Amino acid sequence: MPADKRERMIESLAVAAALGFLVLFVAGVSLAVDSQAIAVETTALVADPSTISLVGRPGDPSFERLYRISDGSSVSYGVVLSLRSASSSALVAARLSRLGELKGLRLLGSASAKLPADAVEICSLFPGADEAIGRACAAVRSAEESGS
Amino acid sequence: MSYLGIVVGTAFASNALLSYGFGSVPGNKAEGGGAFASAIALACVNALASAFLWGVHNIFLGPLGLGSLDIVFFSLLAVPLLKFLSRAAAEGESQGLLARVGAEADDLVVGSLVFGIALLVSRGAYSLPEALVASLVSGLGYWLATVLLGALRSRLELSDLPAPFKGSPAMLISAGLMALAFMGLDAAFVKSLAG
Amino acid sequence: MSEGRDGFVPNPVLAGLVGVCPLIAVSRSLAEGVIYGLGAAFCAIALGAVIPPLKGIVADRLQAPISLALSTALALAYALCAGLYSPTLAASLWIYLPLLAVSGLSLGALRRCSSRERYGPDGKSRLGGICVESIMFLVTAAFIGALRETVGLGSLTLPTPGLRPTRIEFIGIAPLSFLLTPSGGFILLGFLVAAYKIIVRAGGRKAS
Repeated sequence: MPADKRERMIESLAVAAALGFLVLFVAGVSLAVDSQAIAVETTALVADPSTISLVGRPGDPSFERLYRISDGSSVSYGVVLSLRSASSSALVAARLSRLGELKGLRLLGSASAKLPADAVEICSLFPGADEAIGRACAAVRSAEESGS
Repeated sequence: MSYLGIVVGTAFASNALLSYGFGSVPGNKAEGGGAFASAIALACVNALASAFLWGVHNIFLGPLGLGSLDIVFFSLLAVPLLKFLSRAAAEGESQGLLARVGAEADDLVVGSLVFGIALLVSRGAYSLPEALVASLVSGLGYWLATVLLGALRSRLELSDLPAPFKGSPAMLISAGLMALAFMGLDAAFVKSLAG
Repeated sequence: MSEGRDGFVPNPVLAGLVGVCPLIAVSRSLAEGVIYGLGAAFCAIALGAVIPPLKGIVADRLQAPISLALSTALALAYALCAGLYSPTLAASLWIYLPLLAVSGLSLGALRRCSSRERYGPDGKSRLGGICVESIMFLVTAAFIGALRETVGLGSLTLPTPGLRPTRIEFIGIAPLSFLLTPSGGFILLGFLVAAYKIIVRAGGRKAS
């Protein structure tokens, strides 16, 4: 192999290795942040962290994680939904039954909207809320089926 | 969502330029003669980029819980690949349509338009065929908005506007009014149209 | 965009329309404007500091992909940190945080690093120019966000940490919530650019 070609190859390999380290570094930061995000979401969903566990990552655009909440004898599910409209966005905590039905909706925070008081107002302010809730219900049903 | 809903929604109500603000500033870029080539380049680059990012996000990184890293893989793998393809197209045929498409695509690859549409589509609740249609139509919707704004600009240049409003302020206000009109063509409109 | 002979630096957003489109989409409140503007400034300044030393080490043909990879990694790192600081604000800024990698300010910083253009009072500092533009971008983003929120919603959201950012309510109703939509953002920015032109011309300077 000619010397200049070999030099170019070594150069490219060195850069590829450096970029590989960069990816690993960002992946490490991402995983560290992910565990922090789980802690924030669990405290937003329940008061007692020992009753909640992560059951899946459905990869939905509106919610990243699905949680199972074992509150004494009853079992329910929880998700933190990220909702947006043309002019605002909000984080909303949703509680779902084992059958995949919405039990309750609570606004956690919004960066650019008047804070709606109840579930009906949240759904009317964010047009995509119904679809997001529907996908969360489907994720619960699929988790129940795979669990049983 | 139906394919008709995706097409109308991504071209108008969720227009890449007027709703998400991706790409260049309206009226800041002079429209040249190769409008057809730029439309093809926009559609092709966006479709290829979105398909790549959809695969990386949903098949490879999503199950590992590393979906947020998709953009790093995109810039490391897809951007050089798209650059290579567009340069090969630009150099393959000296004066033809393919060369013009390649040259347009080469300019587009590193920009918020391609990155933005790819991220939007890959992180949306789309299947792969839906993602392809959405990205293709998003590119064409952007092209439509720039062509309409380009036509508006040439009319505005001949109008007797107050001096401070000449140029970019008039274009930004026109873009705002056009965005308002585009917002009306959304999923609800399609539902009432198609039943 | 460069400094004039009298030291006057044109505003990158209002004079050069740099990175204005994402601002229209996401700078809808003071908090969003500050967090987005900080991210854009961080990415541009970090690129301005990191890229020039790399030029001596890395071959020319590899500089463009490395610059883009670095820009993406910086934007993603900022997005992750913003998510830790305030999940609500990070969710609100959505894909625009990773897109900081290719924002007008970041691409401008990359272009400036690869050009021979000089900047600053001594005519040498490239990083100085990037810093000045970045700070102006941050202030303008915060101003646009605050204006849209105050006039549109009658409130002001502060970029405080946690799930619920601190909100100061001036009135109970949203007087002009249309301003928070992208179309309202375009129209407001059009008027701001016109106002900037009038102010700059009144000061006897060229607007752009």
